[in-house]
Amino acid sequence: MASDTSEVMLRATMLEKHFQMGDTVVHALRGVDIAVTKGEIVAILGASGSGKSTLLGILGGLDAPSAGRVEIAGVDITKMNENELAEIRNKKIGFVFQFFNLISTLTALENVELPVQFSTGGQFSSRKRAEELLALVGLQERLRHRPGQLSGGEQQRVAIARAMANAPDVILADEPTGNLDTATGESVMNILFDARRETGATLVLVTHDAQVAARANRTLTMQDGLLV
Amino acid sequence: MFAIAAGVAAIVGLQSLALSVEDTVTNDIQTTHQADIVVSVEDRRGGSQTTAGTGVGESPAFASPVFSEEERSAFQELAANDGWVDSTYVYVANPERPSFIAAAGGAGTGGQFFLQPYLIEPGKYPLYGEIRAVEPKGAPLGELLTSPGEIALSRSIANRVGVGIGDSVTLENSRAFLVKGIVSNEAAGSPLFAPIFVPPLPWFAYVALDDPIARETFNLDEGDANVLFIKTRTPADAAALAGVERSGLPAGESIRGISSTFDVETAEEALPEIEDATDILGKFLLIAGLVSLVIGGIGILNTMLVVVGRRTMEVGILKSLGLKGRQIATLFVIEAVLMGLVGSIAGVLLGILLSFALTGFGEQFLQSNIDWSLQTEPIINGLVVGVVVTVVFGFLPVLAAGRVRPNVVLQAQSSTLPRSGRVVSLVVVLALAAVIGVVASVFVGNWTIGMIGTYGAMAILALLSLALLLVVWLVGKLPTFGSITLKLSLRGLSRQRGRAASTLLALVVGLFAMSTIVILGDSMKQFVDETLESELGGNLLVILPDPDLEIRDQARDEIDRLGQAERVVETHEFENATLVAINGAALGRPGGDPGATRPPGLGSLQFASTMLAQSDASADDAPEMLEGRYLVPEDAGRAVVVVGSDPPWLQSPIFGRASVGNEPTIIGRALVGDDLTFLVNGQEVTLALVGKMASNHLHVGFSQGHFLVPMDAIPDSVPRSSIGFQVTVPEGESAAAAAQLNRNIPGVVTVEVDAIASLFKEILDRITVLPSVLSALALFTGAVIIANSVALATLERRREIALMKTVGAKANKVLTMLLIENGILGIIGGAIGVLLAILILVIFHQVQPDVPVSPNPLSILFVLAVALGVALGAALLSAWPASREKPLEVLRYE
Ligand SMILES: Nc1ncnc2c1ncn2[C@@H]1O[C@H](COP(=O)(O)OP(=O)(O)O)[C@@H](O)[C@H]1O
Ligand SMILES: [Mg+2]
Repeated sequence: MASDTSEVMLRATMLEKHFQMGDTVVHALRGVDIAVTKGEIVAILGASGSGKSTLLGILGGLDAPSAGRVEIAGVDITKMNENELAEIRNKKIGFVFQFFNLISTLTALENVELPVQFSTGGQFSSRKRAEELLALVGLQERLRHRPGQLSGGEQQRVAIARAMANAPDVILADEPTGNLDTATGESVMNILFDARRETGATLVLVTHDAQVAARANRTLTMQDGLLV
Repeated sequence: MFAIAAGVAAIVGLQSLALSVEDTVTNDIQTTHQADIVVSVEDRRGGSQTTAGTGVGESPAFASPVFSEEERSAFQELAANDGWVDSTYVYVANPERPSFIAAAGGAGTGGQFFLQPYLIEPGKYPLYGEIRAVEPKGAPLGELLTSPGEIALSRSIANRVGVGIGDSVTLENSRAFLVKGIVSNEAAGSPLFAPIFVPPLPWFAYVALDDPIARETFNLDEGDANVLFIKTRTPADAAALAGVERSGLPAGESIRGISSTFDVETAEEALPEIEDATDILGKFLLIAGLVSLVIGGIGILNTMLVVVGRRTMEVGILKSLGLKGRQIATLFVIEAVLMGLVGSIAGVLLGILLSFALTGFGEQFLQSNIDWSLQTEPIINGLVVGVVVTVVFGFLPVLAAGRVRPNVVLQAQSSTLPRSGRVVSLVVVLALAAVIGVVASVFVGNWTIGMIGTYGAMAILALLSLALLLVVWLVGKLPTFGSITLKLSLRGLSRQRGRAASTLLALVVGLFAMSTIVILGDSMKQFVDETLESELGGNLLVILPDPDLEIRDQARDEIDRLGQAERVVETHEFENATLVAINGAALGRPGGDPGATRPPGLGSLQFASTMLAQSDASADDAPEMLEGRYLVPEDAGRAVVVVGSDPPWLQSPIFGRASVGNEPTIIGRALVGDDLTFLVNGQEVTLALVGKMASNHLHVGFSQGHFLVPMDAIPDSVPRSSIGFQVTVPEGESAAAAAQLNRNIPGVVTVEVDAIASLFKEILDRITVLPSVLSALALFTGAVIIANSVALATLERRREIALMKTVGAKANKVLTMLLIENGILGIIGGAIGVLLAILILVIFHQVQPDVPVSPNPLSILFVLAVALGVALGAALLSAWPASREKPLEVLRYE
């Protein structure tokens, strides 16, 4: 493998995504090229509906592109089957969503344990790892609480801990503070950046907040399905 | 929607079937009854009348009474009447003891099998409808039975004996007949020969009444018959003619010296009986329909709850837009009505298909053709019930929907249903019960039963639901052994406890029905097996055509000659044994004999019962004794007797008090050691009482009696009613031994016990056809509900599934989780259903000890497997696609 690709953690080439909506076709992505090097923090800005979430989802293997390819650490994931993709999502990627997306029947601890327990031949003891991570995000007192018993900021912190569970190479965060008030959003963002620093993971972040964007190594803007 | 459709389909299907059956039977009453008037000889030989010494050489004990010559000429005269259109005589052979058939000339299996022979006039029988052979196809009986020694067999017996057209068979191990045709098992389906709920023996044959070989076989003279079918011009003619016959015919002596009275019945008179029977069937089907409805209702409730749950946000938005709770409720009611309508219409269509399919089973059960027709009544019923129940069930969640506060919209993620006030819920449930009660009452046609039944059923269901809620709660507390899949499954179950419980309820109801049928059927079969094994104590049964001691000696010799009999038990039956004196003190006069040893009046009660003489009594077969001892081999030839305890009807206080004061009965007063004097088939015999048994009846072979004596305790001069042997030969030798005995002693029939068992099983299978179909239907409805609720659960959990996949769960893991969840439901539902069934059957058994209950572990496993299969299958169906979905598709709907 060429030496320049080895330091590129995440690479997308000519990514297209179309959605068939009845008679009309929505072109959510129209040929996106992006390369993110290892440990880099990239912020993506852009209007609502410009295709940011779609891009993030495809980068993380949550959906398949209509055309183009995605490589993670030099491995093409677009040709992978569902099980291989699940493996990638489990080990290499951590997701943080706007609406936290915790499993409501599980406690904070159990939510964080989940990815570890799903990993085959995992490197961590799920309980210990989850406790460590929750301590890292400042929730050591909240282990047995269910999502419904936590505030929005706390829920997002659990989500961040969950994203870090298997020490992924890439963290994909889609408007992680979009659903929080400014103060809480700021502290959550701090925690996210701290956690990232801890593992040295690559971070791709969608945000509307210029201040947050300023903390990134690089800022990209999405417009009508294209990065400009 | 599917749940509604399934419930409605069950109602429409079952009701249509019931109505079709009723219509078929009542519209075509003559065909069913086979005539406008049926005159049949009734055997009125009472207990006091003895058949001994009639001087007729040919063993009167077994010949069935036939019409006398006077009667026949009287019929002849009546035939001149205008209303009399046609008539035909039939001899229904040997109603008192079975007839036997075996293959002859090397064909077939060689065994002897039971047979019900009908001797008919081939060109004339039946008067209504026609019987055409299935082989050669379409041939009428009149063309098949044309010369002496020809026979037409039912499909079932032909298969059993292993013969086809052109083979020959023997009847009663004597004369040979040539098989000319095979008719369907349904041909003999007439309530005359068997009431509707006991399917007629599928093993029957037709021979010609004027066939000399047949007459010889059955000991008949020319013209002998015991049933006369008459076709009249109008029902009024039938009534008039029947009146004449009842009053004007001589009930004289028949040629056999047996007083034969006869029974006249017109088709119209038979109608109520038949209607009663179909009515019972109809009720049965109706109950099945109602059960399906209940299950359907639960499914509808589930659906509505989820629909509302998923719409909570929508409701919140509507509310924040200013819509009032009432308006939203109206919206949902309209939706419910629409759902009910569409679901019901789909259900009606399904139901029509279903009833069409069920007709086949119904026909097999009733052994007659059902005219399937489209009925409007069940369709209307189905539609009304479907819509009403949907709306009613739909009302409960609607009520909750009206209470959704708009701010839930702001609390994203929460899609839980706000609880409506308990009182309100209770009121709604009661109102709901009232509506269902009305529906049920209209259905059943009786208000009291409908309402009480509904409220009772609701109460039971409510209790059951509470219990199931508890079960689900307990399940949620099960240890997970660190397995995340198991943990998620259990959490999933306990999150929607209400729905898990109601799914469980549907499953339990379905499986309860199914296991009841399975266990009952099983118990019956096992009962038959055990009874045959224990009662027959042998693998061959040798039956003498006549209770003739010379033939008996011949049979003994032949059995000896077999050389391989391990045990031979000879049984003589005396049908009329009346206790006439105890210790010489005569019974029978009120007040008793002044010199009686037991002064407080031995009472006036006498009853005739059957006495059995057995050649071999061993301690091994000794039943439970109340007092004294059972017979032992040394008793042979001694004048001793053991008695069964009095039958329960004799022990009843009313009967007992009326006859013998506070003491139960006469036998109850006799003590071990007393000398009992019996009048046995007309002769006095005195025997010493050595023991009293705990059971009412003695079973010796196929015979039942109240008194058991050793062989030779009754002098040869006393006429026997029947004689038989039970022979035990080594396993595997029974067929050959039976064949040898049948060959060497013509007229004496040797049957393998296996053949008897197979007949019972065949009959039993027929009896269980319909209930099995119904329970399968209930289960099917249950499966639909489960599939429905799993689909709903999966829908609700799409987000959870997507999330699990996002963090790296493989599709199979997700599927496993859902399967475990529903597998647990399946197993629990199955187990509870089976347990309930066993419980109910055991209780029933206490009340009705005749109903055997002995669940077979294998079939219980089978039921559990079915439950698990149904639950897993339903889960797989709806969970498979969900587990394959791309996570982003789900997660983007924020
Ligand atoms: N599953 C889908 N089906 C149809 N259209 C979709 C789907 N996902 C996204 N889109 C459309 O693609 C475009 C980009 O969406 P999205 O990536 O969510 O934008 P953003 O996150 O930048 O707001 C939008 O027009 C959206 O409506
Ligand atoms: Mg977005």
